[in-house]
Amino acid sequence: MTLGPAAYWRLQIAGWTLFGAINAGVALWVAHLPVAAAIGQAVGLGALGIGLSHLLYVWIRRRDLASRPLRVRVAHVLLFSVLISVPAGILTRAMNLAPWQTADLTFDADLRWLIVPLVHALNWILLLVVWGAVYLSLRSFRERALGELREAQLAKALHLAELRLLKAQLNPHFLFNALNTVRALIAEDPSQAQQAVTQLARTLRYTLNSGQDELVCLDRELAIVDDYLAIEALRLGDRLSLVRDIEPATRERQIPVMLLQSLVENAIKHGIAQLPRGGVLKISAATQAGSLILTVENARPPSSATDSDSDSIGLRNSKERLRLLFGPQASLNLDVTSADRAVARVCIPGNP
Amino acid sequence: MKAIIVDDEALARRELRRLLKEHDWVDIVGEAANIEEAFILTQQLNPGLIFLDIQMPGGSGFDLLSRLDEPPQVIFTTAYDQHAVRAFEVNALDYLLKPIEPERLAAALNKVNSRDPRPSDVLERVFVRDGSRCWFITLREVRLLSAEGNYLRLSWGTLQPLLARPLTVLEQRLDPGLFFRANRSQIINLDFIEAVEVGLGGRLHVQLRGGPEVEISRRQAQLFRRRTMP
Repeated sequence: MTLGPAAYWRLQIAGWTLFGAINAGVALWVAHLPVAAAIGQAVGLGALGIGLSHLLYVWIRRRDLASRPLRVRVAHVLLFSVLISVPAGILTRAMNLAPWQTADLTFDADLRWLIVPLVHALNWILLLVVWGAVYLSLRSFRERALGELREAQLAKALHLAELRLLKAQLNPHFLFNALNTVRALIAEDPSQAQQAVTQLARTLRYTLNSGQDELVCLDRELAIVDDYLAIEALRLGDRLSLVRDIEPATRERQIPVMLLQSLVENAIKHGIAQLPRGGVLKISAATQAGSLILTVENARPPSSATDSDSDSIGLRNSKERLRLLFGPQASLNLDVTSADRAVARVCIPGNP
Repeated sequence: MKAIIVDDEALARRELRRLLKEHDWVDIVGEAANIEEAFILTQQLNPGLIFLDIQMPGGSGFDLLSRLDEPPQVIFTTAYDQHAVRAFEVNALDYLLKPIEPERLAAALNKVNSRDPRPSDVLERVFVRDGSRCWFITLREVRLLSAEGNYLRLSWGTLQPLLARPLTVLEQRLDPGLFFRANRSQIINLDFIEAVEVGLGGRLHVQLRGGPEVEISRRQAQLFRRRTMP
């Protein structure tokens, strides 16, 4: 990012016009030059100023100085100003510009050829250093502002992504159905309604507190799966029959948070809830040669081979998390080759 | 009026029943837990109103409607599928989000035409599902019905949805005072006739408001003259 070219040229012309005007004033009222000569001085000095400073501008851009440390910038501006001041001083003398700068000096006439350009050159060095300082600070101001803007945009995009993830995890369909169930239970069975509210609260808290890269022990995840299934059982009634086969030794194993829960949610959503007579949901955990094997097996209607987009994204996300947390040996497969069953199988290798 | 509740969750059905106690003119005559039960119940009881959940095992609420010859008035109930109902665009009575608010229920019931449907031979409305879109279509708003194999294309406003019923079957249920068989494959709505022209060979061409032009077959021409030019 730089100052836009239009803004650059506007500032250049405005600045050097002012510079020319001041010099015209000096020519008229200090050096008492005729009007035409004063205007000539102004135009000549302004044009020379624009030319020299533009050379400095090109120098700065070629070397990308704006992104270099401060001392490098200062050194380069000084070096350029000193180098360019020699021809600039000579040119100023040759064009007989700004004669008042040297009018009052008393020195040996033999040295005039040297002293006059030298004074002009020193003046140009001063001017160019000031110009360089102004230019570089304008640029860094602008860059800081743009950087803040970019940061704000990035933060906003991140928030949106987080929000979408959260919404997917919260499973609004489940949430509102559960609330409807609780509303019905309040009239029919207040103590069961209280229990359902507690289970719903635990499920929500667990979902909201779980980060993307967090691990939990299987035991804790199973407790939440139980809460979730208790609420679904209220809705589904006797359509949901549950079989659990958890090897005690697996309970302390670490798994990605919400991994089992999301598989169970899918099994309900695409399996049991789609069947008028319901079916069996089987959750098992076992160890095989040190690896933890989790399976979620459910009955499903024969036609539902297609998953919706958000679900396949969820599945991909789970696979990716497994791979990042446990390496390439970890795997997650959804087997829908059987007509009336779906089996999700997770393999998490043991500690090497 | 007679109403049924279709929802796969027993608790949700009971909750709605409780909410409906306030409106004693709504008489819940049956409950169904899936599409199959709902279909049978509708045929048996001929209710004037259905409270219909959208996501159900064995098929959606839309599946039920497209199987009914003459769907009753429908109020959808859904936990989170309001976008699916909105896709409905046209004249579904209303939809309620679960948990249902008593005030919203009252407002929805205000839209219900409270007379029970008289058993009648004349079909007033059909439910049409074309691709992902669905409509309740009042037949008197349809200007032209064209047979396409075993299907039927309805010219209705700017749309031409396809109905999965043969023309000859539907014809028997159309209002004979309003609809006229123009030729082998087309039935026109007489209310939509804009102009009648006599073409080559004395053939009659009827220009319908909103298009298209329909030719009256030779066999039907005499009948058409008698019907339209008394």
